[in-house]
Amino acid sequence: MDYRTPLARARGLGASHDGTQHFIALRLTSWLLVPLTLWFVITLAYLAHSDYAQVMTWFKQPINAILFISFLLTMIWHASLGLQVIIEDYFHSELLKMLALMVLRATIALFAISGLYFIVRVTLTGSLFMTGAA
Amino acid sequence: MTEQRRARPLSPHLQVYDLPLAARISILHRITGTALSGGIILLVYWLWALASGPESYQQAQAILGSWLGLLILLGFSFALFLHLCHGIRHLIWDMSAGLDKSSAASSNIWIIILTLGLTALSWGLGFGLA
Repeated sequence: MDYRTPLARARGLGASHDGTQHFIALRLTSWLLVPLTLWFVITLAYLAHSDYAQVMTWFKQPINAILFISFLLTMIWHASLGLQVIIEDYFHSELLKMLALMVLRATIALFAISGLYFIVRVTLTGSLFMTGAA
Repeated sequence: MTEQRRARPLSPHLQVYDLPLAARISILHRITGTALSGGIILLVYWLWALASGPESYQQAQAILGSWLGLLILLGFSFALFLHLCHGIRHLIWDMSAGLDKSSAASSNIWIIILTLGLTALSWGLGFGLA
């Protein structure tokens, strides 16, 4: 017996209005993060021995910078999706939940943009683009 | 009446219920996930220090290389591998595999062994022992 209205049945979204996309994105980022995390740990173990100049040179290799950005953004996206579930589970006031989700998204965006900006800055330091500034 | 009440099964109140290992690991998955999200601050701080020049980078390396910094990094590496190993079990569970009680019991043990092993291996690699 389906108690939903015909319109609700046609929309097929349930009580929370969304979720499938969130579920798929969380799984997709999980799969991507398995190799990326292993790469990241090996990278950190390697960079732990390096001084400033060596780390800067390491970031100048396109493959290194691209993989670092891939890890950073995938991981931050995954963290955002995970923290969203925790907020939705534990905030029982609809208003507080919405506010917390907005704060989460803004904070996550700030860290993603900052991290990306710093990596780009590191990769361009000493290059043609930044000869004036450096 | 009181005898009958005593015989009734209790719902699993968190204060009195002895949680199975899989449930404890499941709760740790959330806790480590939240803690690792906080690690984004540390990672972006490190990138900021690197982008700001040799002095700030050396300062960041000194902070991370202190005993407190290394202890925090040890905690993060343990949390990362626990979240990774349990996350992989979730991905296997998504494919409807390993959901029975005995498989879950053995994957519990595998998660603990792999988490400790990978944490030790990564620190061995970090200190140049491996």
